[in-house]
Amino acid sequence: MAQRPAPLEVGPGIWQVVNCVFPSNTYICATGVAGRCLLVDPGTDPGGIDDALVVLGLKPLHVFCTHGHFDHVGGAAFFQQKYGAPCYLHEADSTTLGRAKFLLMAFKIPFTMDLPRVTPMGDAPGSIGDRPLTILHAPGHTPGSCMIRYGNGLFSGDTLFSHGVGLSKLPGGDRETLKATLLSLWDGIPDEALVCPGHGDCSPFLAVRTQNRPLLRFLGMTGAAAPPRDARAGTA
Amino acid sequence: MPITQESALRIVYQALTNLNEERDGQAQVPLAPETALFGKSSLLDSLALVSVIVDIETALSDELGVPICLTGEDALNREESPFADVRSLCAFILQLTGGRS
Repeated sequence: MAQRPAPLEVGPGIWQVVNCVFPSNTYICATGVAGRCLLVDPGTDPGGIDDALVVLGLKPLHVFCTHGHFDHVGGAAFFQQKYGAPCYLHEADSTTLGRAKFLLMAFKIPFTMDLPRVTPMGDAPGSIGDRPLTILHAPGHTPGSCMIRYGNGLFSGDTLFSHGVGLSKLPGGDRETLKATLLSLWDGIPDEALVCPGHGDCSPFLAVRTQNRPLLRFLGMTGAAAPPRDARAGTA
Repeated sequence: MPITQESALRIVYQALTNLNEERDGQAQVPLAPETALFGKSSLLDSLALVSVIVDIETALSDELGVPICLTGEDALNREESPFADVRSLCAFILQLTGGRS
C-alpha cells in the first residue's frame, strides 16, 4: 500500500493535510492543551487526516468548518463520532450543508459522508488553551462562510486564498457580498498572520495583499505594489 | 394551495428555460417529461443540474411559502433517482409536497 505523505508543518504548531478524492486543505492546529488540537475543515479523506493525527500524537478537541461545502465538512462526522469533538458551522450555511451529499452525487465524486451534528459557530469558545479564538463571519463564498483566527493562523476557508479569488458558481455564492466582506475585514488582518486557505498554499497576509493580483483586481486595489492600508478606505 | 402535476411541470420547465437562456442553440435542453436530467444521456453537466434543482427548490418554496428541500437524504437514498428525468422529478416533487397528480 502506498504510504501517505507526512502532514506538512506550514507554521509553528499548524499542519496541513491535502485531502485525496477532492483536493482541499485540512488543518491540524496545536492548542497548548497537551495532546489536543483543533481540526479545521476535515474534507474527503478522514482516514488520511486521522493518520496524520496519529503521527502527530494529537486528538481533536474541536472541529471547525469554515463553510458547509462537502470538501470542508465531508469528514466532520467521522471525527465527531470517533473523538466526541463538537463540530462548529455558521448557521447561515445549514442549507449549504444540507446540499453537501447532493453535490457529491451531482459532481459524481466517489465519496460518501454522514452529515455532522452541528454546533452554531457563535457558541465556539472565545479561547482554547492559552490563546484567543476569533470567529469572523465572512459571507460571500457561501452565506455562512467564516474565517477563524487562532494563534498566528487565519483559517480562511474559500473566502481568502493566497492566489486567486474565492468565487465559485455554486448556489449561495455572491460576488458583491464576498467583495464587501473582504474589504470590511482587510484592515483587521495583521500582515504577519498566516493565511491558511481551503485550497492551495499558505502565505503571510502581507504576501497575499501585495502579490495576489487577481484578488487585488477583484477588490479594486490595483495599481500599487503594496497598497498602504489607509489608501483602501475609499474602496469599501 | 397544493402543488399539482401541472404546476410541478411548469416549475421544472421554467428552471430548464432559465438554463436554456444561458446556452447556445445546440445545447438547448428539451422541455419534455422524458428529458434526462442526470446520467449518461443527460445534456446537463453537474453545475447545470445543481443550478436547475436549486432554481426549482426556490420556486417551490416561494409558491408554498415554506422551505422545500429536494436535495436531502430522502432523495439520495432512493433506489431510483428522482433526478433521472423530468417525469421522475415531478413525481418526487408531488410526493414531497403532498401534491396531486
